[in-house]
Amino acid sequence: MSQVETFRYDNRIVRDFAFASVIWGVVGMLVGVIIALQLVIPTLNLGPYLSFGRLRPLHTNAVIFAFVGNAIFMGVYHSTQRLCKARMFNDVLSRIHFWGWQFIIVLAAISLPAGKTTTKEYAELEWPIDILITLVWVVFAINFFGTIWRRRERHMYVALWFYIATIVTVAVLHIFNSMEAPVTLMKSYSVYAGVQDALVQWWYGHNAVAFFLTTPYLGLMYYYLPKAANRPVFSYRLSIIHFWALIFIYIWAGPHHLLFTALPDWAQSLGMVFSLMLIAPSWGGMLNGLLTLRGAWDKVREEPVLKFLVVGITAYGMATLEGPLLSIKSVNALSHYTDWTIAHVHVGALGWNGFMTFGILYWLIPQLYRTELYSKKWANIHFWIGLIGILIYVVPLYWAGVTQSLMWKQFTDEGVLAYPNFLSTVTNLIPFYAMRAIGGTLFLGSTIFMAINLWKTIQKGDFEAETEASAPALRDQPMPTAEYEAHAYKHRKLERLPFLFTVLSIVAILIGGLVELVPLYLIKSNVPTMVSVTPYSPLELEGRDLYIREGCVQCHSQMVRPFRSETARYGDYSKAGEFVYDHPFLWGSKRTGPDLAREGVIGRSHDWHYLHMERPQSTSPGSIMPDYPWLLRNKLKTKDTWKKIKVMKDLGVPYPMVDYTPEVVLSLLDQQAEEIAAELRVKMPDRAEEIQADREIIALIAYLQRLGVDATKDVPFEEEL
Amino acid sequence: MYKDVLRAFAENGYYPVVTMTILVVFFLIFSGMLVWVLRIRKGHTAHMAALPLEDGSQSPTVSGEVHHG
Repeated sequence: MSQVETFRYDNRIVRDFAFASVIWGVVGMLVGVIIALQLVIPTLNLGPYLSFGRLRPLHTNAVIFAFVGNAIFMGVYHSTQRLCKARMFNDVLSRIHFWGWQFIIVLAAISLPAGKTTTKEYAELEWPIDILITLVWVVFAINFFGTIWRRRERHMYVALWFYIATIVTVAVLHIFNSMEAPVTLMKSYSVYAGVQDALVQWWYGHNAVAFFLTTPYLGLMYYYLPKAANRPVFSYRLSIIHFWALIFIYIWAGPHHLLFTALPDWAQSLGMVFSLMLIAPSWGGMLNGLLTLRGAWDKVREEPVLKFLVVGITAYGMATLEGPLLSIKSVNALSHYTDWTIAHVHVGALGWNGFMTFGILYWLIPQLYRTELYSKKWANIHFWIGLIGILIYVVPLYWAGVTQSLMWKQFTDEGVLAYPNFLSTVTNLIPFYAMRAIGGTLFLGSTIFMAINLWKTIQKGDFEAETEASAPALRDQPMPTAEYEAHAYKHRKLERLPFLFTVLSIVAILIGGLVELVPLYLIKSNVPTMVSVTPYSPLELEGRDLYIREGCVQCHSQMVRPFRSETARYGDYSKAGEFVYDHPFLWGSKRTGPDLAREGVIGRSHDWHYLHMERPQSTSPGSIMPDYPWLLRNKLKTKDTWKKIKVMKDLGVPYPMVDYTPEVVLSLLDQQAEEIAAELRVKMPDRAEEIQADREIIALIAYLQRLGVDATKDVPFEEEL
Repeated sequence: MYKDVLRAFAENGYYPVVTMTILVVFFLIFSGMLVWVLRIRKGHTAHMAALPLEDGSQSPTVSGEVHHG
């Protein structure tokens, strides 16, 4: 006779996360539409706070961490309680988690347009916010694992495995990638430099995709699809392989963001090969999901919830085929830095993350409010318009990406570049960017439509703040006998041992990172030293920080690949040793504008930069780059320059601290600035009055004119270690 | 064919050895896993697969859900 315990599930926290997800989703998508339009109508860059370079990270952070993040927590809190047959471990922790997360989002919304950024993709938030993220994540972890500890269902269902992997891996990724040395309250430098920073960043960045955008949603899929279809998952056995193969292989895929860069070849090859292997577990998951509906496809026709989930899972399959194919070096040679990458991202983001979220919301809100969805018809309209929106987003960008790349690579019969002016490859793309903006607007509009539908559902419903449930306590449930366990599958034992399961998951996800990252540090030949490379001067360092603040890296890369079309256009290809003092690295992921790695040696005069930054269209008619007139007006703040040099020195950059004092540093800065200003006054005599050496533009010019100088310096050959 | 493989080892140092080893190791691990999982009898997993469908909740399930006949 077992003692049945009665308890209650907390639905308030689920509702709160659901509301937050929808609201931030609309906000994040709206920022997305704005930046899409800015590429078509550059005057929409209302600087400084709302220029593309500052808004794009706001968009990515909002849709990933605010929209998807809150949706993850909504689903995890809802499903974990029910799979464990236990209330969340601690209601106070739930509240702290919720409000802590929203606070982080608000801080992001303020700091990113203000230019406070680390520049590392999907990890742009500065160090105090990173600490806050860690604390809130720990709260989440305690709450989650505490619930597992208190469970009344002895064995953990597959969804829980995915949540476990998510929580531990995100923690590891965030902590290691966010290692930064603070300079001031909202400014820090990555402890890693150059090649190492690039690999750590993309070990993080790709696995943010894997363990924030994918694994939690696979967990949600394994719960909500059976729930919505009222039938069990197709193959529980397949889910075992799917899980372990996925979490092990995914981690290694990071280098596929760095193909044909200065990253050592062996790391690139590992990234490519493991990305290809990843097709198997990814499609295993997709098939497991889709085949759950075998024989029930007529239900899909009738139910909007199932439509969203099915298209979502299909989009997952598409993106996880496309991704590995884009990781093939020869394909990547064409696609890297183009809009094809953006298209790929949005198949996954809009299709998988978006549609899965919508499907779950349409199922969950009526559940929580004990009513029917206000309008199934509206949900169907949402489905179709959203789907059309995705297509109008993605297809023009495929076209744009391939077009631009082929233009970059084309040579005339005489053997020179067919499109030597980078700008001519951009102006061709404007119609496609306009179509993409329309697609995004459709997606946003239909999401708002969903919000109204859900709101009306809530209004006519009756919220069930707590759901009563009952189950015998674990101690009153019989342990599986040794005989049973011998018969049952081995994995079953693991499913009832959450601590061991967690430890094994951690081991699985650490391996890839260790194999790829450790050799970069221990084996010197991975980053060959270049004697000609010296640290940035104080003025150039300040200029680099302005480049970071304005988000230039969003549109400009600094990585010439070893292709004839790139060396012909930009100059000598980039070597690992050039970047040893770059804290953080600025290789970039996208070329909306040209690569700048050799900007300092292509013979541009200072006054070209002065005029170009003030109003790009004045030197480059048709340019879609935003204007930066405030750089000419703002005085360069130098109160932290000394601190910056000291932090860089602590990070290993060989500044001659014996000779340096704060006064020396500032006088070096002033001296170099005055030289640049003097030359500007000579070149632009009619503007000589307004040209002051203490303005931000001077620092930025100094930095830009330094790019590529060291790498192409003539130095006598020296034997190197 | 084995001569080509051996020549590749001689010419390229340790790289081919390492990559071959990795290939063999992973192939064995994953095919081993596949066999291991396929040997699980279906009945054992029925309870686990049904977990989302029974959550101890006593609330009536409404809306959205389709009840199969």
